[in-house]
Amino acid sequence: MRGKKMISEKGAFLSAFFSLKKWQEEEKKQQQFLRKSPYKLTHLYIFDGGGCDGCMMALNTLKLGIYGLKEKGFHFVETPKEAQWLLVIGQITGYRLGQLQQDWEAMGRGRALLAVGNCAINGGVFEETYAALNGVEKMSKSFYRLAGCPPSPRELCHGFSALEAEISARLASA
Amino acid sequence: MRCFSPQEVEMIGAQHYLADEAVWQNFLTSTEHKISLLAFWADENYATMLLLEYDLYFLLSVKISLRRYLAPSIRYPSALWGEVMARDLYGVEAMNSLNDTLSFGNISFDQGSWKKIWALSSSPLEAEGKLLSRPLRNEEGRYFVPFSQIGGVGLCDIRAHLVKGRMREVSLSLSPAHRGIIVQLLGKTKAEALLLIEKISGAGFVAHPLAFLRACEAAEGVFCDAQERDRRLLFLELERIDLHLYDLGQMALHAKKDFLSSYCAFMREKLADIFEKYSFPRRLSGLFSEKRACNLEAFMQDILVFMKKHLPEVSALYQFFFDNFKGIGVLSTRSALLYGIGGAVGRASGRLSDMRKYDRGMRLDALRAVGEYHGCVFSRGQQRLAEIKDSLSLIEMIMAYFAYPDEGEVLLGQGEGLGFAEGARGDIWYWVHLKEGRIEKIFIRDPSLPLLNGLKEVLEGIKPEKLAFILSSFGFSPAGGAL
Repeated sequence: MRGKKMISEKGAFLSAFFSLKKWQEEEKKQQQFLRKSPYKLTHLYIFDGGGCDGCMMALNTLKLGIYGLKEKGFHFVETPKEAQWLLVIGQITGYRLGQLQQDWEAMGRGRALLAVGNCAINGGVFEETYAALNGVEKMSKSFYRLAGCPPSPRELCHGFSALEAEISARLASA
Repeated sequence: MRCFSPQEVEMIGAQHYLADEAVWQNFLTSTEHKISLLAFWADENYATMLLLEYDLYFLLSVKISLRRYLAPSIRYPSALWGEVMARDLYGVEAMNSLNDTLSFGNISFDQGSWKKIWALSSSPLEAEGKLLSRPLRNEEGRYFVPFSQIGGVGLCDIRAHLVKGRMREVSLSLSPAHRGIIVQLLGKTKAEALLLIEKISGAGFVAHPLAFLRACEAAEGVFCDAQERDRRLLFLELERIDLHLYDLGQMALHAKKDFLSSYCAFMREKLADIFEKYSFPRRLSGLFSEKRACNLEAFMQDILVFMKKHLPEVSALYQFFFDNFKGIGVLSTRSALLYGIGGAVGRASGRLSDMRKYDRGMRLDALRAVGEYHGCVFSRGQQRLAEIKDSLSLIEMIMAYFAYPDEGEVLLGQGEGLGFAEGARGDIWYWVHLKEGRIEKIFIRDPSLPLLNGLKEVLEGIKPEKLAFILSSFGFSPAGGAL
């Protein structure tokens, strides 16, 4: 009985491993991305401005090793000081506005502001209220957009890679 | 009902009673009943409790006099959040309320960040809207847990004293996540409101609009045909499967079991691919506002084939990796019952309430999930896996006899309706009052609200490093509660 349980557990593990591996290969083929220097990571800091948590769930999924974000040249950090890109999600509540400004100012040179998801761009289906803005558009003209409601982890990967080239070019010309 | 006689109250709607102050007070102070509170809300005119007596749910309201009412929190601690919201949105005070200094702070919910004071009252005041910053410690020396350390659950203000490296006197607040959703819904038609409600919470892209539609249908005295009924039940189960996999994946991520977390993500994305193949959104958002035709049988068949192949694998991985997490992060049965905590979390703690039992057309034989009721991290994951299995059985039963005719009770639409849906994380309730087809009043009860009080007890005495892991096991999402 114990032997049978061990065999069936091993079988489940192997089957799961091969399913995961196959899916990773399929994802790699689907994603076109520019090769970056493996020694130069772009550090991403997530700023939750108050949304439905849909974009947060997509970003949480992206943090898993399965998407190989680090191999693609991106890494999530825990403080804005370490970050080059500030990823804003959600409408931006009044409660969070002061913190957003503080986090932006804490970032170093060569920083970029990305609005991830429709709410962060222009409020999406939601309006401005006494408690929340209409996204980053309300407070800034120069920011980058990754639309979606919510964007999938795959779309986020595509988007980061596409934006990386654009942002690098802009910073180089500045 | 045994808590009051019909002569003492006035019936103002289907299952909605209006009491005077004496009956209200008597209800809150009586020891003769064990009725539990599901939700509490108040506006300028009425304070209302949503109550559950065994299998019967009903509303009890009292008229607010001189902006005051007797606080339900004298009996039901879980009413405290509703009292705070009523104070700051409408300017009505709850008398004899539980001391909320430690829970929510003795200053306002928004701490001055809103552009209106009493924003939903008939006479709101304009305000400046302060810019807030979040120091590591406040004036009382209470430590603010940085948002980056709460495991990406969303915006929840968690404060505690740190005593010998452990959190004491923990308080939780949903203030940072409040977006003013209710004010956007008032005055809208059902179709207009649906566009917003479908995007309220990532943990309820199906469950929230479903509860809303049911409330509107109750208010209008209509109900959907058997095909639409079963279609809704199917999509509710698909969302349940998706969210349970997400929660299992997050638990594994914070427990550093990367193989399991990646596997759960793989299953979710594959499910999303199947949804997309049949022209549905990947996360099932926007399902009700836009009608989509599809081959439902083939769609469900693909889901069942995929899940039946991979579910045993994720179960085996879970048993292997999480066996050591028994007895951690325990939510007691007493707390689950006291605060009305539902969903997989409540059931894993022994509160065996599942509102799907009351759904029209529900195939009750499928609802068999029996797990261990220890209320710990392991039990919650176990319960989720058991419920995924139940969801697959339910999908099979529905497809075996799709759209069977049922004899639902036809109610006379009275302009007011209560609707619910058992979401993946618990029961979601909507109460709507329609006037000439537009929303005059609305209240939304998300499962994250009762969880606030339960979490305070669970997080007491834990180390901050464990916080993200324990929170992830609850599937806590502030977005739906902090509307």
